[in-house]
Amino acid sequence: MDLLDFFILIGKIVLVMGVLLNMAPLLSWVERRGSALMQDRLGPNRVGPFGLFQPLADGIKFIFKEDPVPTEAHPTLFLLAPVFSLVPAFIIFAAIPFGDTIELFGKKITLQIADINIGILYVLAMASLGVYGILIAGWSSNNKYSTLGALRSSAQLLSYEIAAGAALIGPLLIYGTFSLGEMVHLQPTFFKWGFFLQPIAFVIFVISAIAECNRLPFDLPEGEAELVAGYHTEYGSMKFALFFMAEYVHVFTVSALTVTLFFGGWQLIPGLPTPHTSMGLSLLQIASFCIKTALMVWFVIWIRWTFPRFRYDQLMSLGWKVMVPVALVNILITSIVMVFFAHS
Amino acid sequence: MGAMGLNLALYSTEIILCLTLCFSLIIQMISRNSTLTFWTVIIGLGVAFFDVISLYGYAPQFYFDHHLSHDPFGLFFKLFFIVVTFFTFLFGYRSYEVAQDRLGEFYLMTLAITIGMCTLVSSVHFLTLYLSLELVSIVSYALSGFRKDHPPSNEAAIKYLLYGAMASGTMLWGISLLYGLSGSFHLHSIHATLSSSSIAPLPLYAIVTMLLFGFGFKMVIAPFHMWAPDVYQGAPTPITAFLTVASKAVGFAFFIRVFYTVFANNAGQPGEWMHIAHLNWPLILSILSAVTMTLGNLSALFQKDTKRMLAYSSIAHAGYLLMGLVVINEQGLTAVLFYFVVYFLMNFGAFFVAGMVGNTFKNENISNFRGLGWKSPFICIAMSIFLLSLTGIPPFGGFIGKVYLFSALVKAEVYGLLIIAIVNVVISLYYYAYLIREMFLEKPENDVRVVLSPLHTLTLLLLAVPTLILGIYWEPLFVYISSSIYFVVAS
Amino acid sequence: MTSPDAIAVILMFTFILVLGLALVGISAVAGRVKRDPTKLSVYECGVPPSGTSRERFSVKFYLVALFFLIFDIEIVFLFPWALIFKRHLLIGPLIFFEMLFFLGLLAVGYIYIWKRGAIEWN
Repeated sequence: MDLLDFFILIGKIVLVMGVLLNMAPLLSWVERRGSALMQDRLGPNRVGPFGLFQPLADGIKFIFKEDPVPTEAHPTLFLLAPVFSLVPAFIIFAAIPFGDTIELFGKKITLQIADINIGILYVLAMASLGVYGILIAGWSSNNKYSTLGALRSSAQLLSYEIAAGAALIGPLLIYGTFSLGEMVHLQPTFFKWGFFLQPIAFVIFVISAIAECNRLPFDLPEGEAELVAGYHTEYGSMKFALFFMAEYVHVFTVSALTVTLFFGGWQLIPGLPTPHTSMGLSLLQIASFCIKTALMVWFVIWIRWTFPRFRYDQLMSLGWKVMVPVALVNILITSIVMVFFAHS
Repeated sequence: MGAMGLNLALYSTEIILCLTLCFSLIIQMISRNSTLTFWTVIIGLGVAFFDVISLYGYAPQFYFDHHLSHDPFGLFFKLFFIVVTFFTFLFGYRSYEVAQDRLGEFYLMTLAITIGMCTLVSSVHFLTLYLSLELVSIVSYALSGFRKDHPPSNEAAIKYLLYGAMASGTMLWGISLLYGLSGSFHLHSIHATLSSSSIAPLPLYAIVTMLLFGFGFKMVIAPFHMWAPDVYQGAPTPITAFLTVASKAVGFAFFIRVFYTVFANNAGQPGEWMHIAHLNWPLILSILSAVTMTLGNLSALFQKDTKRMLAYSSIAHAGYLLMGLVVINEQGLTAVLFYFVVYFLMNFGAFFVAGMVGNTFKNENISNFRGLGWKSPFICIAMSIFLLSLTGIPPFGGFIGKVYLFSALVKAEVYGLLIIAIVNVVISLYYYAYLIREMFLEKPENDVRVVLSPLHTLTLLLLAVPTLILGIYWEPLFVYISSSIYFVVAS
Repeated sequence: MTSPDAIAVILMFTFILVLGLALVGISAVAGRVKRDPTKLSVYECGVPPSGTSRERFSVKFYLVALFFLIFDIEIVFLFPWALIFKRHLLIGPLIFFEMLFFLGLLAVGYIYIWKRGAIEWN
């Protein structure tokens, strides 16, 4: 790997990290204005035009606010837990392709940080690591509410991870590859998008992914009215902000993943004209990806402010008694259909 | 598809047992009718039995990519396990020790152990061997703790688990060392490497010791027997009966396969083995056999609890069985397999009676038997048959089994072990006869009689009558076993 | 030479790790705490904390973890099968029936835990 490749890689990483780091405040603004829209009120509109500088103000506040570490808490783990939560959310994005190749400096650069040939396994593995952050946060706070919230949250995450994994087997059967870059290439036309080939898997995966992010209607672990703030009761200022950031980035990453698997990734949105220059094509592909992901993120936010919260036993029942069997049945149906179409 | 079809056909017994397992569980979950579940498993076992018989039509060969071996030795033991499981289910039917609302789990776990055992006796690859061994062991741990409300059962499960995990780990270390020495997991490849190159004796002895830890745990030989009395006493009696017979048999079976394939050369005529150079493991075995017999018999003398006494007696019998393996020739092997058949009948029978008496009295003391001969003669006569057979007194099957074992020793001129064995038989007579005396020569203290359901009466007959007959006319069984000691040598 | 994918992931991992630690560090420096026992004590809706937080918790959580383990291993076995499924269908439908048997066994286990009530939460 020569020096130019290395610098291109650094460039890609900086670009992606920049976008992801900005996503957290941006999404918090989108959420607050969007929820205000849905609840027929004004959101933040004081700080800057349309309240766009509100996240900046929040950020400054978070930095300078007092950051107490409770005396009873386990010192090292208490400080490290937010970082455990933050890291998996970001590094999932390494495998997600946000565009086809682009011509720069005379080289064709694939717009994907790492086209890992076991892409989907890598994604699932990193997503599973997120559970550690929550467990460590809850346990190290040495607070009954935190511990209980952490346990409930991790039980919820485990249950929905089975559903997510099982749901993903469906698209895998169809695509026959783990690599995410390959999967996008296998969705060239509109009706070959994963959404049409695997609708059941899409539904299960989206619901499980929302549960994995601890978003409403599955956010009982952070339930504001129930357990104070669940596993991050004892966290203040920046560490709390890191949890928040981790959650928003996770939402963004999971939306990007859904788009890659089910909506054709960076494949052009149907109806757009195909530009003639390759640079134009590349830019349009990146734009398609961004638009699709944005729509998916908006969908997740929309759901949050539409549905009431699930009770814990309803949540677990849904995960084990509905999601898992339906996902397994989906695998069965998909494979049967493929057996019949194998010789055609 | 052709090769796969052959593999699946040769593996059909385990598949049938697996399907029985699933069906019985579903039926129990849905219908909650224990009689229906019982008949499902019995029918399943019957189908498996006839399937094994049909497998005799296939030539001896390796299957599943040289992991498993299809030969008369394996088929004999598969039949054996299916029969033992059948009797276990008869024993467990409406037994107060097997919680009736968890009957599905009982059948599930026992059948899982049977599947594991059937695969274990056929495996010629250490990985398959370890996998099936763990299937058998781990489910046995759970099964021995089946009575959740009975502290001795919980204790039995924990002790079995701890000891078994330790034994398993040590054995695995030995297997990995063997792999390091030879570069292969396949028994025949390892044998080829060991016999062709000269390896220093010390690593070989270390390996054999470690392997013996694991194998000895399953075969219940001293000094790896410590778990057995507590586990056999604490576990529910149907499960104890199953473990004493089947678990021990599978231990001996895979011990024979591993040691006779890897550590012994097929010298001269078929049926004659010679241990490989520098590794005199038959000597180790003879010492272990002597210690096991003596320890088992001496400890049984002082027991006041029927199951514990029978547990120690079964340890002693493991010692007798081990004698047959010391001579490493055809006579010894035939004697061991023959003894297993009679051992099953008499040991299972003894535990069966102990369990029935325990069902009535709700405890397992030997004093329950006082005067029982006058109140429930049928049971006590059967028990006497079993106990006299266990001692080795003619005209019962146990005597014939012991005669074969002793004659194998005499032919190989291993006289020291022979004398120790005879002394042990005399010692064992004391505690077996003590029980018979309690039953018939004492006056009963109360009026409690042991009543058997028709099914249990039938089971007892099926166990006692062959024990009696085998002491008089054992020729067909002997012929069958002589043809069953062949396992596939190099491919 | 390590594959470029691995280097990329390691770089990204280091980047975000350093960033996260830096943020926590900034906050520890810029948000110095004036130590006050009430502020630093365990939060329990304003009342003094009762009992330790390391108390016993329901065994249902342990059961969930156990079931997760079993079904996750099942899914792990399904992944390589899904990968080669399309290619092997050209040889014949045997590959489907093999996995059908495996899924069937696990379905039996699933029905068992459902009927036993192990996935009821109250």
